[in-house]
Amino acid sequence: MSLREQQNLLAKLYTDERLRRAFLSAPNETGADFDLDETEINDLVSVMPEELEFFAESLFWKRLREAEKLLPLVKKVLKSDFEPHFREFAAGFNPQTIKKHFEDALAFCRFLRRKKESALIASAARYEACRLEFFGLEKRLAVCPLDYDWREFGDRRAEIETSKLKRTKKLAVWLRTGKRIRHFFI
Amino acid sequence: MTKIRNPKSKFPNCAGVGLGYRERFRADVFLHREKIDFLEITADHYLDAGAEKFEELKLLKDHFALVPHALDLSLGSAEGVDEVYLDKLARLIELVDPPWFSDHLCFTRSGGVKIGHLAPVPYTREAIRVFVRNIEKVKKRINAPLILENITYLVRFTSSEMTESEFIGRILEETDCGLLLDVTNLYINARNFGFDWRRFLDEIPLERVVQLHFVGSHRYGERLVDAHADRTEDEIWLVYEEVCRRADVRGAILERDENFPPFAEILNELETARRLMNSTQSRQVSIV
Repeated sequence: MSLREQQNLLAKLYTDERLRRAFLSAPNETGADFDLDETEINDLVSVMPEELEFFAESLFWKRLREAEKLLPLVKKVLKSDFEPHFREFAAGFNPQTIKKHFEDALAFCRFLRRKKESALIASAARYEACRLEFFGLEKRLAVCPLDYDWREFGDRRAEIETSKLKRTKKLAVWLRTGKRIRHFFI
Repeated sequence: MTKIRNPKSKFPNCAGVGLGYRERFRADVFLHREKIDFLEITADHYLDAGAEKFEELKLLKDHFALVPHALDLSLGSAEGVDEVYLDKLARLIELVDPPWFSDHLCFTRSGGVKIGHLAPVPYTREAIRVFVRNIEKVKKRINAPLILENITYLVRFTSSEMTESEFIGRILEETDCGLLLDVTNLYINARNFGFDWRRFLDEIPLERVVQLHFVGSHRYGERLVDAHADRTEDEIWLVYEEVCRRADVRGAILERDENFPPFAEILNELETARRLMNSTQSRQVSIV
């Protein structure tokens, strides 16, 4: 196996959880798909499983931590469910741009909205995606239709009691005029 | 121990002690400018910069010496360097005009997959050729001197043909690059894999050390990891001090990314780094 072939395989094993589990549980079958010979398979299996898993997990946790920082409202809504949702999302998405964590956060919001698990989660995801795009892409104007009044929870310290959230029809607006930024609800 | 100094070095005299710039520190770095000799900027944060980020870069450049630290040249990629990324980095470096810039001895992408982290390569002759080829391409595009950073690794390759120190030394010699010696990474690897970091220092070309990185290590089960989230501990200060004693270090950067303490603690760490660096400046011998 050339260095290029090895790196192609490693990049997939590091980032694709399903492939990694398949390889570690059935290395000969999976290895054959990559034209690995017995020696190469044995090398990977004998030396690498623990390290491979640890490295891959550390990549995941890095992505998760950055997403939690960028999506504080979604984190508050999902609470301990943020991680399993993000893990499911991360298994099928690999950011490609220089702003990889920003790309991850936006794509995760789209993922949550597509899942249609609850109107609350979808609304929080839509609101955060709109906010992120406004600031991250330095837009002049962003408008987000809301089903819930997220106004009170803009403060990062405020915890959410979902039973007390008011269902509403409003628009959240972000407006940049010169260096001044305004955020209001109508 | 006699410090090795190379008077033919293309790197400027000591830049001093500084920190990796993080946006949350913006007010503090300006308030305490006199205690920060230079800043290391994460190059990737400015490559597709909008107007606000560009303004920030200009502001920093007007008040600090800046050294760009790149994350994604992927110098160890056998498929070659990403031309688009290289071009963007080159434009940033032209703008900043730093004394040097840095990236890592690793690969970060292959076969259309971006790993999102610094992945190790096997220490082989083939890998050396890959690094040399990629670095030559970078040097043709970017005039500023390139220095290369050692990384932590959790993955070991049975196909390696030499030690890490020999591997690093050969790449540095063949490319005439300087070394960004991350003393925390060295300490973590030494602890995790049971080798003597002093022996590692004996084996690398210390005259090529230009800059250091330091920060605390993080315990994760039985291992240490480079989380960049902890205060520099005494064991790492020992490594730092030893390197300063042996090598003509131009600059040292505190690389804190997470779990931020009050800025006074950051300044205390910089002060420790400065004191240790200055206290080892006394004996110098030129190499010919």
